[in-house]
Amino acid sequence: MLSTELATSASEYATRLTPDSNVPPVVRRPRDNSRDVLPSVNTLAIRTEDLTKHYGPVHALESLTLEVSRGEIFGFLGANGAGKTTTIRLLLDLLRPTRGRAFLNGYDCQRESLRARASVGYLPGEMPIYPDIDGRQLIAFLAALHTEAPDPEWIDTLLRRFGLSEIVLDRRLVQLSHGMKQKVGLVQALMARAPVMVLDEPTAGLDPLMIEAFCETMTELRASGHTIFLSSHVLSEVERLCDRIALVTGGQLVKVAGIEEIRRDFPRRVRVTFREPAGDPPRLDDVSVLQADAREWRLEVRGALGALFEHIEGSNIADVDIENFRLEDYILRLYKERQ
Amino acid sequence: MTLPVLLYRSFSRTRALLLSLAAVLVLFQVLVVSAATYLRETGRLSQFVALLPGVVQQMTSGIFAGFGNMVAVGYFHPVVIFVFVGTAIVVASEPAADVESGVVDLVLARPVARWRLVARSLFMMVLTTTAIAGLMLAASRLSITFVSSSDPTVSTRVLAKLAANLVAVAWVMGAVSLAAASIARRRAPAAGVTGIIALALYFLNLLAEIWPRMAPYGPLSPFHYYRATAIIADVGTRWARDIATLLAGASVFSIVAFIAFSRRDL
Repeated sequence: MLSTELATSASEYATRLTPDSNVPPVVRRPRDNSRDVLPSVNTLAIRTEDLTKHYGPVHALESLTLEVSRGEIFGFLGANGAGKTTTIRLLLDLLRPTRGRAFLNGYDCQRESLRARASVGYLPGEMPIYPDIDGRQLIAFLAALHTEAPDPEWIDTLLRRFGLSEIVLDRRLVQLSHGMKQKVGLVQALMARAPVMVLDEPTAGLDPLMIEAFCETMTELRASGHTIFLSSHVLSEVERLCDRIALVTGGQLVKVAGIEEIRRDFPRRVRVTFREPAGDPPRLDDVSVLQADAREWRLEVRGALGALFEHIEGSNIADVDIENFRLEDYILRLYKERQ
Repeated sequence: MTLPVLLYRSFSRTRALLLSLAAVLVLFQVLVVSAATYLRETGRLSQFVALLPGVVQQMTSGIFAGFGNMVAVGYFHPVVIFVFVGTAIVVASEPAADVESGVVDLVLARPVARWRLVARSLFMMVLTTTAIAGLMLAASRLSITFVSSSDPTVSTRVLAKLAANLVAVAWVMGAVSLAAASIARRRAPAAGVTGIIALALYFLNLLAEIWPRMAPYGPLSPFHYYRATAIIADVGTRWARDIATLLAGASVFSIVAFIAFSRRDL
């Protein structure tokens, strides 16, 4: 009985690996669009309650309580060893928590692990490979593990978008460059169009064109209601894509904030130079003076610049230089405050 | 359908090794039959037996006396036992290999229950050892038919019993390897330690047979329950009980593996 089942499966599996097709062939079962429909509008995409993981004396994660809404791109930031990957592995039930609970799509990551994992796509920080197979075979193998087969047209779209040609797909994974392996990793993570996608360092090793393709894909997925949980060290990318960010350091959650909120509240540095000596800088609530002399003011301004401009209107201004907001500065400041 | 997919991937991953080991064991059967045929046809069988050390003659209870018994050596020769048991150990250690390479993350990020990875390795071990034993039996029968003229002293029933017992011993050590791999993060230590344990248990049984002071410890070794000479001589009715004991041992270690893998951090 088992051998018959195995033989059937093996032949079916082998059929799916035919290199002629443009896409890695997968079992073409009718697509169930209900998977894209969120189980409940009120359910959060990701929720953790007092999530804690200790390895003996090492506190890898301490009392993480976090909520990620549906349809948002959430940046999960932190230095190496801060607890990002531990959190992700707890969400995927690869690690068992010392204390606390985690939920994916409303399903308890431990007690309803299979349901939780059925609603997630995952890209590990380092893409693991089977050395004996090629990219096409890996994608076909992983697709076969889903309860519902991924849409071949969507896989084809992803392959084209990430520039994975037939030649690349037919090469053994060990022969591929880091960037190419990462692209295969992205395809396998996104292929099921899971409601929640957990991506650990998704753009590591990608060239600028591919980073652009990745960002476009993320924006599209967000628009269609998918939730992206993104761990990255590339802060420009996080700033561009994410709706909110969380910063963890030393296993503890330091900050959760929306990018717009940070952008609004984080002081911008403004340098005003005058052609002739000006008076003292204004004493405004949202303006702090870093340095001021007769012809040059260096200020930090929180929020809108209107009040400052109203104050200097009529002065003989030579130049106004406003530094753009950089998430990097904000994160560095948080680190410094923490220290 | 997950289990067949995992099994197929597992077989694809190890097929070169498995086919090589199967070829070695099949070739060994052909060589044994050829050697026995030569000794029988040249009338040197008794001379060969006389050349064996006394202790070996004592342990084997004169089983080399006949052609059929010589053929049976292909099922309990130490090389055959080690290759066969080694195959089971390597195949069953795959959960540790999955953790070591990180592919377990990709598999378990999908709706795949953890126990399926352990079941996959258990099935792989059971299927491959059974298949190799079947090939060995087929090789013996075909060699006897084509290399030697048929001989009434060769009992297929005895060969099958030996093969089944060998498979059962391999399953015990395979299950130990599975349990070790369900705890370990790397394959080499899991398979290596199990291999060393298997070697130690083999020599424990050997010592127990030749040294009365060690005799009480013999039953601790799975090799104790592979009484080839008794099967060949067709004496006693302990074969079924031995097989049952070995299967019970394999089951215990398999259960340990399932529990350990389901509780561990990956």
